[in-house]
Amino acid sequence: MNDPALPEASNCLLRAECVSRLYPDGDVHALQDVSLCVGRGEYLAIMGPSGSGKSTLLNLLGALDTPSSGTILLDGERLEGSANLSRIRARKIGFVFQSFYLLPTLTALENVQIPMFEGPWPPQEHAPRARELLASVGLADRHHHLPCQLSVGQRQRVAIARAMANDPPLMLADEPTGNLDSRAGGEVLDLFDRLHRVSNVTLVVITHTPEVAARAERVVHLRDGHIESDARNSPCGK
Amino acid sequence: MRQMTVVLKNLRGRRVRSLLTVGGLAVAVAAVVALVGAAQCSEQAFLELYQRRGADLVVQRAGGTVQLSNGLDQTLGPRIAALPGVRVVIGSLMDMVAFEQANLFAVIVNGWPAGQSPLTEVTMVAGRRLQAGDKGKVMLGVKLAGNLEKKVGDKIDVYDEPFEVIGIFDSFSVFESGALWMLLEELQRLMDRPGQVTGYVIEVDKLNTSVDGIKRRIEALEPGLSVVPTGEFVRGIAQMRVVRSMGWVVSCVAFFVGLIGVSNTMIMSVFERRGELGTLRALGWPALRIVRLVLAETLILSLAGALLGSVAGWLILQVLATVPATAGLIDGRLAPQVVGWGFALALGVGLCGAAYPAIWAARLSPLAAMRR
Amino acid sequence: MRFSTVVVRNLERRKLRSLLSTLSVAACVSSTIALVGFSAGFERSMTEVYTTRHIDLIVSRAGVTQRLTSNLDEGLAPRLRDVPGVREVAPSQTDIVSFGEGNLVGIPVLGWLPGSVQMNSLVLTKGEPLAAADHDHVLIGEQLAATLEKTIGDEVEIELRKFRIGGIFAGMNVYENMTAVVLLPDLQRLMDREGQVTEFQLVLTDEARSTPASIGRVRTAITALRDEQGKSLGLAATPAREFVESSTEAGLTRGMAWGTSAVALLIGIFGMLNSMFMSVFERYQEIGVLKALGWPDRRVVRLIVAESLLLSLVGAGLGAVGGMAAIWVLARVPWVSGMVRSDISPWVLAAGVGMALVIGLCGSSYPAWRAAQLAPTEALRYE
Repeated sequence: MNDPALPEASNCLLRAECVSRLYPDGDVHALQDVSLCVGRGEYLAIMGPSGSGKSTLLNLLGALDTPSSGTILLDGERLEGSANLSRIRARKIGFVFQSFYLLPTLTALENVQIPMFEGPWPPQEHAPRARELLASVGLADRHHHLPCQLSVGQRQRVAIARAMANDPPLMLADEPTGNLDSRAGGEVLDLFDRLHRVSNVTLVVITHTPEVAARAERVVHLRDGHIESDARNSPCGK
Repeated sequence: MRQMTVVLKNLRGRRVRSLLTVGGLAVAVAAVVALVGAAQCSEQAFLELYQRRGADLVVQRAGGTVQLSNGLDQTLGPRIAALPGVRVVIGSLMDMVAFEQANLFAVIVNGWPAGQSPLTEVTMVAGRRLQAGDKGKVMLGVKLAGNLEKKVGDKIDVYDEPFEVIGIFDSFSVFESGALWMLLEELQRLMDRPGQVTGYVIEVDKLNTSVDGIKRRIEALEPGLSVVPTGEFVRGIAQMRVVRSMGWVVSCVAFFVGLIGVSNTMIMSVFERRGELGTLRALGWPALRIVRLVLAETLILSLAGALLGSVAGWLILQVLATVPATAGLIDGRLAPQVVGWGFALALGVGLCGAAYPAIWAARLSPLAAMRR
Repeated sequence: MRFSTVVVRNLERRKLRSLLSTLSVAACVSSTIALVGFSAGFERSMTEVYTTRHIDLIVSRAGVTQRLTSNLDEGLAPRLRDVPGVREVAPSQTDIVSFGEGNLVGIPVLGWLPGSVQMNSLVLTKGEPLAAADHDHVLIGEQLAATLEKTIGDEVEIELRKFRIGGIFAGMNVYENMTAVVLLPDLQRLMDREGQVTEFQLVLTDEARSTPASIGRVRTAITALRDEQGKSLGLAATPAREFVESSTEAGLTRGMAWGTSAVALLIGIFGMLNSMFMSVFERYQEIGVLKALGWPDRRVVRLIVAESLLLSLVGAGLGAVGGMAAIWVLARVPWVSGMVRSDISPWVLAAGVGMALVIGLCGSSYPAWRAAQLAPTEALRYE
């Protein structure tokens, strides 16, 4: 069944095939038989009510969790059964969380460098690179601020810079605007747009807000662990 | 549902921390109970030994803190025996040797006069008793015989000289069943102390005379004599004093280190719950009740540590009573007051460690709850 | 940013807990340094008494390890002199006595022969070494003189007998400074041990003492000595260091020092486990984030172990200061000052640091393991 809306299989950066995940305590499925292909450079939003399995799907796509059955391939590499998951997370995936999760005792500059310990760059390039990343998210003047000295919007931007630290091809965001007011949220979404356009990073965003989903190219709807619909946004948004 | 898992997960963290605190306290208490218990047990066993053998007074050379090196002349014995009211006078020589191959480093060697207690009184398990004129022969206590794996008729090297084991005896006291006995003259020869004894043990006819009176009359016999009742003698033995001071040192170190550990735990525990505690204050709990709460928690931990530590200390004593190197000195009994000392230590540590956190918790303002 | 920055910042986060953990380690380390320092210093003082006088072998009764109760016949001296390689045989008697008016107990008194190697080696600040005619004279160490508040010419009571102070000497260490020296016959008479000595101190010829093998030959010769009936004399000849180390007295002190240190170590490990576990438990979510960001388990483990080791090393530093202070204080307490020397060997300090490292490693073992086991998704669920 070849859906013209879906890109070619060989062009998938991220490919889930008949993936299922049981809840840890029982035999209830969090996800059941989900197949998904995320194209290289695509901007995808995953929507659904709570309990639909979207967080579970994100964890699986982000190599944070292993499916109970099915296969996930990231850039051609199988995730389940891999012994290299932390390396894949370091080099191939950047995470942005709803609650930012910055280390409270490190400055913005230092927070951005955290993933770089496992990255390809030598130590002396960590700080300069971090400065560039902070500049690209508009926080050039906030290097030495601790998270508690930043507004929530600024914290999320630091988190985004951190996610980009090792130049990963895939960026995953879990409700990135969930804890932000509309202005800060808008700034973050603008940032995502720019990132997507400029560095061609593949972006997968989980959200339950239609406005956020509307900014993406393609929206996948989840309900009760299944994909309900998978459609492209018109260029003018829905 | 997820809220519940969070609370449960926090409680589990607390359980591990409580277990670790109890563990640390238990180690401290176990060490103190084992060491002080061993010292106490030794002293008690030694005292019992003298008392059951009917000793009322011990006569030695005065002064000098090392009892084993000083000697009395053998001619003093008959002069003491001649005093009215003196029932029995036993002069003996004592030393400590090592049997290195068997890992025994503190074996008591006694030289007794023939035909008298205790040679005549111990229960023979095998072979025969030492008799007057027996040269080159020894009797082994049953525990020592077991550790050295010797039977009647075997040869044994003492002071680099071969002896024959002619008998194996059992005794109610661990100091005797772990000892090696020979005739007084033989030990005098081996130790190069001809005509000398380490001391005299005196039994007094208590129905007709006072022990104190005899004591004074013996002291008058010649200068430089120390005549003490058996209890005082045992307590004053140099080795006993050394072990007792070791017990003190361990207790102090255990208290010091344990205190810091418990303080650490309670401070952390109270700090992490400042929200809840602040809420309690907001609900009207008086400061004193908060203090009691913190103290109560610490006391429970202390009691648990004391209990666990006492059991562990008792186990250590049992092990020491079987291991050959120490079996001749310890018989595994644990006096209740030693357990009491262990509990006192744990409770002391708990109270001191809870003081600062309790006061800090009591001073929390209800605002602390809201800041969470 | 360096990895160490992350380590330090994490410890700064909970200053009070870090401080208390450091103090806990410091308590263990200072106890160890004080106790082991005391025991090692005691052995060193005892050994120096022989080695500075170039005493090569000490002859004592075989099979007896409690040095003070060893007993030998003084008449054995000629037999020992006849052994090839022996240059000088100096008998020595040691007794622990009480000094009358000062109410001092536990003072070692040495009984030596006039003109012996020991007598001649005393460094006298006042007076002369004891000559054969100097009966009931005593030479006392400087510290002992100070404690008794007596000087040359004064009378002092030893074991109820009056002696006159014939000189004051500067001992080679704190132990010797608290001892007294009398003529051997005087001490034998005082303690009712006529004709007996505690040990013979031997100086060997230059040739005999040149190699361990040649010393060993003299040892064997002495152990093999027999009497007229062919029975062994039961002698043991031991070099100074071995003699001191194998004594019951040294063994007991060593046992107590190390035993108590072991107890302190265990308690310290529990304390550090407690601290580290709490610290890691509080950061479960953060650890989940680190793993999500690509940190492998081994880097997380490295972080936790590094935190624990840093705390321990700081504790070791504080503990070293504390332990040395404790020894310094003890060296000034009158009734133990003869046994405590303030110079602490670097090995003792190394033992303290080693202990701290063990606490750091063991105390982070379980928490680090738990942190490694944490699945990122589960960890992120913590609050």
